Order: sequence, then structure tokens, then C-alpha cells
Amino acid sequence: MKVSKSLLQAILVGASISAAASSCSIFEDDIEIHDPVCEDENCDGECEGDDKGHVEWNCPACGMG
Amino acid sequence: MELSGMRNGLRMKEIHATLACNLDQHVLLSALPLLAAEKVDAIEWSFDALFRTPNIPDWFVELLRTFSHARRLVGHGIFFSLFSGRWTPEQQQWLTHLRKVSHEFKFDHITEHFGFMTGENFHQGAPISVPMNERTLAIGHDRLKRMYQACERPVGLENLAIAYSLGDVERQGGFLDRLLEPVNGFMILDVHNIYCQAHNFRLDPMKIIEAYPLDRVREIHISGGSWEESEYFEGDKIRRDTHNDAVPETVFEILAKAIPLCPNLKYVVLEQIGEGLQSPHQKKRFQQDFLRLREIIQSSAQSPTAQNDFLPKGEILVGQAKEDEHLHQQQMQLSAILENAGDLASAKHLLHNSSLADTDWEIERWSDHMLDTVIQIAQKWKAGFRPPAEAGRPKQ
Repeated sequence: MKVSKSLLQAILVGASISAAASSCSIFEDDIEIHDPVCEDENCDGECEGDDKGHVEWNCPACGMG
Repeated sequence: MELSGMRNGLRMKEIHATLACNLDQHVLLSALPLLAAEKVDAIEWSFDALFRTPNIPDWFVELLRTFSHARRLVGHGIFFSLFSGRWTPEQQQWLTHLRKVSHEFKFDHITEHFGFMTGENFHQGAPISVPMNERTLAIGHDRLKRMYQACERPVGLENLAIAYSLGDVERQGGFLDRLLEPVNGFMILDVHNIYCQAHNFRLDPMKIIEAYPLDRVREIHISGGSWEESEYFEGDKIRRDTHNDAVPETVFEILAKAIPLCPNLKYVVLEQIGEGLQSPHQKKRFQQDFLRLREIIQSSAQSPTAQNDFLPKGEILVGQAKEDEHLHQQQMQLSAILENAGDLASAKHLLHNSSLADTDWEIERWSDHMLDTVIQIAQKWKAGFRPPAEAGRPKQ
């Protein structure tokens, strides 16, 4: 399927420089399921990967076996 | 409209070469050349994996929207825990989230996993199997109806990699068929999971596949995994579904044989996690695996148009959520034993003195090598997404 060049460029830049580009977020005993299109400016949700620059461990989006 | 390709004068249904594409730096960078070359027909997104991650980049949302607008986006849940005996506020919240993202994106369908999640915390645990009896069937029917009500799209379930015993492997196909029937649901046939079971129980993978309701297969998964040393498997290693390596040749061979057996197949998905995609060589291998997947689809003897849209054929009504307190207590006991056992012997001792003894759980038949593996999996994931070195059980 065709994906626009501008979007491909944005993915390249975003995924290359941003540690937020990981679904693997460390979390505490928090059961919140966050809105993926969150617009709450006061939201204090945080991906710990942001601080590390990258995330090195498994993401359970798959492969939990 | 399902139709697109023509072959031998017959209109053929289209099978989409699909990437499991989550917000993971290494997965996205590995996928970019495939996206740029227009080789990715569809993407699968784990819509419940982004909790606690508020700053979803605009470009990732735009990627989802691009595939959503083309009806080439499928959703794959992780945390619903279909067979939990007790209905929890977290499951209700999961459904609310599913309803919300289903309004935001046009998913072609929504899937979850067979089994229940170990662990008391909603996001900490791993999916493992349950007794396949009338009580768990009733729970599963109720939860699938709720999933359908939330998303109003076809709903499906994926077969598990982990089984406790040979009987557990043999029963899953027939049970899935009965489970999916009220919502006219479909199944994901995870070929790597079959590969794991075939190795770990010394079975012919095609015999396992043929025991599944193949007319219900709308999606196939392939992936890689890992080998785990075991002192309980006659000197052999255990195959684990860890998604952190390239796709084995045998899995491609099984895929090629399985596609013609699945008349309603629509998506074949390559899954891999970022951990296994960090070097240029790993990224290249991932891209080669995906192109191989495409070639296999294109060269497969595909059946004419899909016969089943996998939408319910009647009104789906749910009342109060079904609960089974006895099942819940058993699941809590099992989770505690698996997550805390120091070794296999102590786990077996605890299980044989628990409420699971002499019941449909059939713990008396569980294979030592698989129980040991389930203990490792439960202990790996009980703390959530921590580095395996920290989360795993200390080596004995």
C-alpha cells in the first residue's frame, strides 16, 4: 500500500531520534489504559524509555511465550 | 469489497501481506524500506499497548490513519484476559478503550489471545491455558460478545504457543470452534506457535493444524523465537515463542502448506520485536522474511472469494458479566504458584496440594518440561516489561 513520502520522512526522523518511539513503557502499579490520541495537557503519563534514549527489553505486544 | 485479483479467469480474494507495526523504534526503522517500496499491504497494531504513553507522535497516528482509511488496519489486543473467572473493572476499562479506538480508527477486525493472564495486576502477567470445559466456554462466550459490542467489527482469537500437556494441544482446536461460534468469530492461526507445540510435544505440525477449524482462519501469524535449555526434556531444548529472531525455514514451509487449507484467510502477519532488530543484519533479515512471506502468499493456491465475513448472524446481547468464583480462585492459586515457585519440584508439590488437583485442570498430566517453561514465562512477565535479567527466575 502506498504511504506518502512526507509520512515516510516523518517516521524516519521520529523513529531515529525519539525514544518515545517505543510502545514498551515501564509502569508502576497503574491500571490505566491510556488514550492513544490523548489531548490532555495535564496528563502525567510517562514512558520511562524517554529518559533512557531507547528501550532494550521485550515488548509484550507479541512474543510473551 | 473482498475481491481484487484475477487468476485463471477467476476473481480471487486478496490475502494481505501484513506487518505487526507497533510504536517501537527498531520495528519502524526496519519496516521503513518495506513501506517505501509499497510492499506492506496492511498493518496490525496492538491498540492496548500504549497505556502510560501519552505522547504518541503525530506521525505514528498518521501511519495508523493511512492504513485505517484503506481498511487495512487490524487490531490485536494483549491484556483482556479472556478467561479470567472474575470480571474486573480493568476489563471494563479495556472495553471502553477498545470502543474509543474503534471510533478513532476503522479496524477491519479485532483479535485477542486464547487463555488467561497470570498476575494480579492487569498489565503484568503472561497468557496461559485454561481447562476446556463448559464453565470456561461460558466465560469465553460472554467476553467475546462484549468485545464485539465494543468494536462492532469481526472478533477473533489466537491459538496459544504454550500447552501443559498433549491433551491440551489436541483439544484447543475443537474448543476454539465452539468458543467462536456465537459471535461467528474467526481465529488467528499462529504458525510459530504450532511450530513450538510440534517441537515441544514431538508432533507433526500439519496434524496439529488440521485439528483446528481452518474455515475460521482469517489471519495467520509467523515469527521467530528462541531455544531454551531444559533439564526435563530428554536432553532437548524447549522452543519458545519470543519473537526475537528471524523466521525459521520450517515455519515458512508450514505457512506455504497452511495457506491453501484456509479458505477465509485475509491477512498473513509477520511479528517481531525490536529487541531482535537492532543490528543492520537483523533489520535486513527481517525485510527478507517479509518479502518471503509476500512471495509465499502470491504463489499459494488461493481459494476463490471468502465465504465468511465473520460478523455475528444474530443480535448480540449481554447482561451481567458472567463470573466463576471457583475458577477465579483456582487461577489465583495457579498464578501464585507459577510466579513464586523456586523450582519445578516445589511447584508440583504446591499444585498437587491445591484446589486444582483432581479437576479439569488435569495437573496430574502436565509435562515436567512444559510446567517448568510456564514457570519461567510467568516469572519473566510478573513484573511487567522489565529487562529479562531482572524479571526472570534466578537460575537454580
